[in-house]
Amino acid sequence: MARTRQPVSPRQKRQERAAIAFMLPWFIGAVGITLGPMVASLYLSFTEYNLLTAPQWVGFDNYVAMANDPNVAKSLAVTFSYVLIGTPINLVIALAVAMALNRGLRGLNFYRSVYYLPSLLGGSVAVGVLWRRIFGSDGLVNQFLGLLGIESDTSWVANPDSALWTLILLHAWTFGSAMVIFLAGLRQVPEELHEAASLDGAGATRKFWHVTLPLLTPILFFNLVLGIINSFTTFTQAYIVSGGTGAPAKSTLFYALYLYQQAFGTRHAMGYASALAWLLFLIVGLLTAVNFWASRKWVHYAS
Amino acid sequence: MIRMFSRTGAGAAALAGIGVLITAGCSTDASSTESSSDEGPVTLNFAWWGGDDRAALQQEVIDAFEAENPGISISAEYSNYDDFWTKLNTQAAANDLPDIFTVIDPFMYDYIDNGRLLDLTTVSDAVDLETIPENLFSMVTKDGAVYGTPSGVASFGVVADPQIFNEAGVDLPDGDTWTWDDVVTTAGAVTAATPEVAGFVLPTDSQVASIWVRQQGEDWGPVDGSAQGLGFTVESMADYWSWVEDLVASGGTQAPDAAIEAASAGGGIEQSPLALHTAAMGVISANQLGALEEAAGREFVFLNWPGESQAPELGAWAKPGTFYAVDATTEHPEEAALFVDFITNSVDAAEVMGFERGVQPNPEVVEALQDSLTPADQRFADYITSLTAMDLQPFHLQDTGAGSVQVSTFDEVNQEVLFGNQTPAEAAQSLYDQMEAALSGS
Amino acid sequence: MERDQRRVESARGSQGSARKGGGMSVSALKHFSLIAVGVVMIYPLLWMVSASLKPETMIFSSPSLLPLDEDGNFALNLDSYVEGWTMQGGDFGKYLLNSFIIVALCIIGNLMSCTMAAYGFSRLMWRGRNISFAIMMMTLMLPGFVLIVPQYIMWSQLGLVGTILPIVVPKFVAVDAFFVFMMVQFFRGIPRELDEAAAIDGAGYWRTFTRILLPIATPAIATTAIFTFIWSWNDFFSQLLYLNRDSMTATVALSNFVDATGSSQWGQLFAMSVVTIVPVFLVFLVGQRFLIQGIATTGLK
Repeated sequence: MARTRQPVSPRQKRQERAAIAFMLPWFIGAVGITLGPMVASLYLSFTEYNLLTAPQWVGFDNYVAMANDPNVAKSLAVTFSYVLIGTPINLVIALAVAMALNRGLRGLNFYRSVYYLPSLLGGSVAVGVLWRRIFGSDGLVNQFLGLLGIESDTSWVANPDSALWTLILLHAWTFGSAMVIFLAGLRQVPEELHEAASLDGAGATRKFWHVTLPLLTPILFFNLVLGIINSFTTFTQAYIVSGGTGAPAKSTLFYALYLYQQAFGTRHAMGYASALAWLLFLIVGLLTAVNFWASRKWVHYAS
Repeated sequence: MIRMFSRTGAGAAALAGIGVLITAGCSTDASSTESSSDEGPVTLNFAWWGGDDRAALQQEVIDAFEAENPGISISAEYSNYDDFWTKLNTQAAANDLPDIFTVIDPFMYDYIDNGRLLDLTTVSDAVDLETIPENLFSMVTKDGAVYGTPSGVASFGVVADPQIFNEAGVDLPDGDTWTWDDVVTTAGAVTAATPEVAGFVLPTDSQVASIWVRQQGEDWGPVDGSAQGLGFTVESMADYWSWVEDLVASGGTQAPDAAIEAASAGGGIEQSPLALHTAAMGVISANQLGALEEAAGREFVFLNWPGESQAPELGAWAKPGTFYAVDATTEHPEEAALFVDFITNSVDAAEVMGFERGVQPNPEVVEALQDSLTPADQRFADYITSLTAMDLQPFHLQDTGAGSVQVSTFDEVNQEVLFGNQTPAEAAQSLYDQMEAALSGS
Repeated sequence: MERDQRRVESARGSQGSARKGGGMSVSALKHFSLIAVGVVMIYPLLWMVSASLKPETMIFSSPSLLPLDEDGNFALNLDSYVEGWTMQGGDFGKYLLNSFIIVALCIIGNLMSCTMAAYGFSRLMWRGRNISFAIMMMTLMLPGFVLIVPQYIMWSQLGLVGTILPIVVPKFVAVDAFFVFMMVQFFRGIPRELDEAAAIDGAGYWRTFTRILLPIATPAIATTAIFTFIWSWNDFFSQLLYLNRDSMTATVALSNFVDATGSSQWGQLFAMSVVTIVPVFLVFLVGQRFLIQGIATTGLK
């Protein structure tokens, strides 16, 4: 991080000044709103803090307690399977649908809106009810299986073996946001390149792999990084479907859900919750750093 | 990473943030933004949990109070139960609590323990505490200080759907004499006759277990002052889960996954098997009888807890379902106490609220309400009266550490039993160990 | 100019499918599969609309997707809409308006602050840029729950709890790192030759930013606006904490229909959920046109 002294050209100076102007809102936000609370939470992770009385410094106690807390390992396992399975499925579907809804068909505006609908429902209370209508013991899935001659009265949402899978499906079903970003990204793929490729006799598959996908990599990278981060911190859907308990038998005890239980549940152990948060921060930060490092090999920028 | 923060000057901001946090946590007197209460109208914030039905009634009570006390205006805030606590805890951290709010166990233990609630005996000229039976204060009394007034007495109870029993051709059990084994055989008989109906809703929470251990002369929760340790024994808890296994084996209940699905949040009484006519018997919060009957479109009957006539002790309990509490740092303790007195003791207020938060704690108020009760409220009141007429073991203020996690830990262990991951004995031991580790001061 | 662009595109589109041969049947097949999947996507909404039109007692007892009354006859029951709209003497319209005000300010804030920061990160060289970018990425990774209390204390000390400022002000100072990062990725996909050409023509940074980059990035700007709309609209937590009865939003109002400790008004919940989703859906329907508009980058000058 040693600062190298170089003669500063007038152009560079001008650019520095412009940067200050452009970055000013962000600087204010980072210093005034984001970083203060972040560091405060780091401090709190070394305290016992029940929100009702001043925090007490306890050193590394919270971090030691985490190592002995079976729920930490359990919730990490749940979260990792969700991230590793859910994120790729979500991205592949989003990209495939974005390609299908990109251009060349009537009524695309309508289709796009319909496909985005589930993402609009987002975290509403109604989602929990709807999900039970679909995956409950007398829900749609079982009715459909009945039509196929398979008798089932399993409650897929409340069975420990399948509950997590229904949440992965819920995740896949709300691919709308990633789809929208892909659609916007596809706009940046110049049509001329496609035409040039077509003239060269390239088929649709070849065009996708050799023209579209490389130009889309900055956006794919964005969706991948954010998809992973968001899956790690996923909360709302798990909260709504299990009522915040991580039931059945802790099979949907997501890390962020456990953190919330600790922070705002009956214990309101904000110090411990802060320690949990900073562990997740380290894990996600490490993965993101690896992602950025690997991106040099496969992400193509226009410049 | 640390170096990076200090580089960018964020260190200073961070220190400021921590400073704010500590001062907010320490300072005991809220900075006074309004002028003192000598002259001019006083505005008090009142926050409670509940839905829109309750809010409509509560607003009527507030209007009546303001009409009687022109110098005081009440500003209302409400949200559903979970969100209420999230907001209240956050406000507490910022020393920003509403002047008056509703509290209940287990959350309130920490509030009492950390001195966040006003001792109402210090404002007893404004709020009359003598009108209410003393045992209703047992959960909020500590070292002679009283930290809330009960809003109403509530309990859980077994209800049965006579129409389903009729259709199944099974006799309704005699609530005065039935045993735990009777529950299993009756439930099995109902389901055998009407396969679509569960005889007894599979318990997925701790209500039935709490009755079970109390019948053995034990206590459900760890009593405050952990010298006494946990309330229950491993043996009783294991016996309880063996009974659950018997119930499942009889076929007279739901599959575990279906039961958990039905009980999960957002469920509400309207989606319960009882309301949908797919269960003959089950446990409900007694004040929800009216809502249940409205959703089901039929009448239910209360049965006493099974085993009461055989067990060493009575297991049933009746306790306040909500307390009204005052912020310890409120600028207007007298005015806040006046309002608490109004919602606790005034017949006018009670006529509006009815038994929405349980049977009114003040016997004179209940007397005055007799003629205006709905039939469902009447049966609810009769049930509670029949309980309080018995010589029940009182409910105590619980240990802050273990008391605050016992219910959720029980639910988790219970699921391990229901899904066959643990035997009753293993589960009982596991719950006991977890609770013991959670006792405050251990 | 934009209209020309669209005409060119639609011409290209039809050309494209015609060239594949058997265009008609291929597109019919496409439509068929898109509709089939669409039904799955839209089913829950249909269920919700249907539930909002049933009498309260029929919502959970009748599995039918058609709104039926107690006798099993088709009937549209509007009670839930009427009662939900006038919940406990309040006015759902007021809560919708509050939501709109907050959302509009959030969109303005995000569009201004996030695009500027993204330009600074992607196009300008300045000392501390990489560290600042890393810090911004870090703000995405810490679970927000542990920031709630310190932030609340801060706004409370400033005396701003109960106003919309704690919700709106952060948007004007680029606190939503998601959008900054997204915009950075879009800007980096735009050839630098375009800026350099503008610089040679004597355009300053501001001019390059507003006249070259922003128009090309229209799809990304539309994405930011749409997402800000939807996410601020649904941002339950901060609305719950910072707003009071008078400034309450539709999203918070919805959560009050259901309470596990008492009775719940499911019909009203579904009715007002539908009412709440309609404006969001309309915004998306209109806004997504801009996703596919804008000046396509030619890549060639």
